[in-house]
Amino acid sequence: MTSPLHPDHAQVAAYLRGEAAAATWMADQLLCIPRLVAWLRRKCPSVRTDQLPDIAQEAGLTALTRLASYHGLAPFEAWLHRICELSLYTFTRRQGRQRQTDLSFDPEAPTTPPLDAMADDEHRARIRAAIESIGGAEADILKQRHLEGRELRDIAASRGIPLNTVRTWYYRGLKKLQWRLGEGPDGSGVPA
Amino acid sequence: MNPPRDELDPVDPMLERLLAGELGLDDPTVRDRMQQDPDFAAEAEALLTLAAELDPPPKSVRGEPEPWAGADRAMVELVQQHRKPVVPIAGHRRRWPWLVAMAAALVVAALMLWPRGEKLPEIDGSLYLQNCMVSPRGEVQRGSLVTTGFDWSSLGATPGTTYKIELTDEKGRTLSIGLPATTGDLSLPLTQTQVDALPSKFRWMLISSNDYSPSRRCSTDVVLLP
Repeated sequence: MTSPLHPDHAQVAAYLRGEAAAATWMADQLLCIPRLVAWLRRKCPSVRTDQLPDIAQEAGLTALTRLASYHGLAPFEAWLHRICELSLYTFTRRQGRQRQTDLSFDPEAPTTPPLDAMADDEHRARIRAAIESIGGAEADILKQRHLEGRELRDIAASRGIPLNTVRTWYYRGLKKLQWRLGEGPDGSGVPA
Repeated sequence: MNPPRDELDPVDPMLERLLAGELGLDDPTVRDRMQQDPDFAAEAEALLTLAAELDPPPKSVRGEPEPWAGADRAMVELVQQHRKPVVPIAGHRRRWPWLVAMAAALVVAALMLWPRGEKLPEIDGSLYLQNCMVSPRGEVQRGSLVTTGFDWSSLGATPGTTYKIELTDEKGRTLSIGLPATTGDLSLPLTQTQVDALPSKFRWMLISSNDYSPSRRCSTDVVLLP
């Protein structure tokens, strides 16, 4: 049977409890950050290579201060991937404000490493179980979006409902899931 | 159990479109909103991060070579510096209350008996930041300092806090490069002239005028690479 949480979740919890072995694990995980930043930079060519260490440092800090928001649905590295992306956006936002230069992302540029889309059955089973726990129309939208890879616009068209409604269900589905998964690896969060 | 209705409403149209992928984080309206509305930014980032966990996991980058010299070492040091104190977990709480009390007593005694050494600078009877998650730190390119300046935005300061930055060289001598006496910002840009005036190794200390955190001091060593 698939565990409801990825094994990385236990490691993050151990790190937050201050266990020494988990600190070694965490350091090993964070080695992904400079590599992810270097990958993501291809999407934002106006970021200079000499700025990447600063962005990686910021991403590392952000990750360490937001560990409680890792829900354990995916490998920790997948969560770090989004943290790096957000850090890169934050950096470009700040730089753009300071220098009034165009630092927008290039949507045509190569972006992330290739996806192991269908390879991780365990991941899909875990996600399916988490989504089904919230039930209702919101769960259907989340499944179609994340397990079938469909755009909300397509979902609205195929079901014959307004796009606004689908957007709202999607948002509410994420909020419900966030609520249900609220207890982060630090033991904090909302009651499930 | 699902969240109460007031946790879900009102729905924010921009947040919905951002989550739907119809707006990007690089969209100017989103950028402005995230800059001006920290609650919106926090919620957007939390939900985007959750959505990322739902997506198929990206292929691991572990096999990639170190993208720049020192990248791995910087991450290891970051974790070492960020080690959290042990957080008691349910079921183990108050297991050794006498040990905690004894340790606290020893700390108090040590503080009382410890010889007073270097007098720490103060502003407005301030405390000193202990969490040194600031930049620059460690080895950085000299040229990048003009862009980044001193930045302590990750400390999560409360409004109204003012800061003072002190610079010293390797031998502890105070450096003066024309920094303002205090600032209310979360970063301090540097001019090319100021960067040129910095030695290749220096220490900068960030001092807060506000006791918003259990802070003491934030002293960070920097090595400027040519």
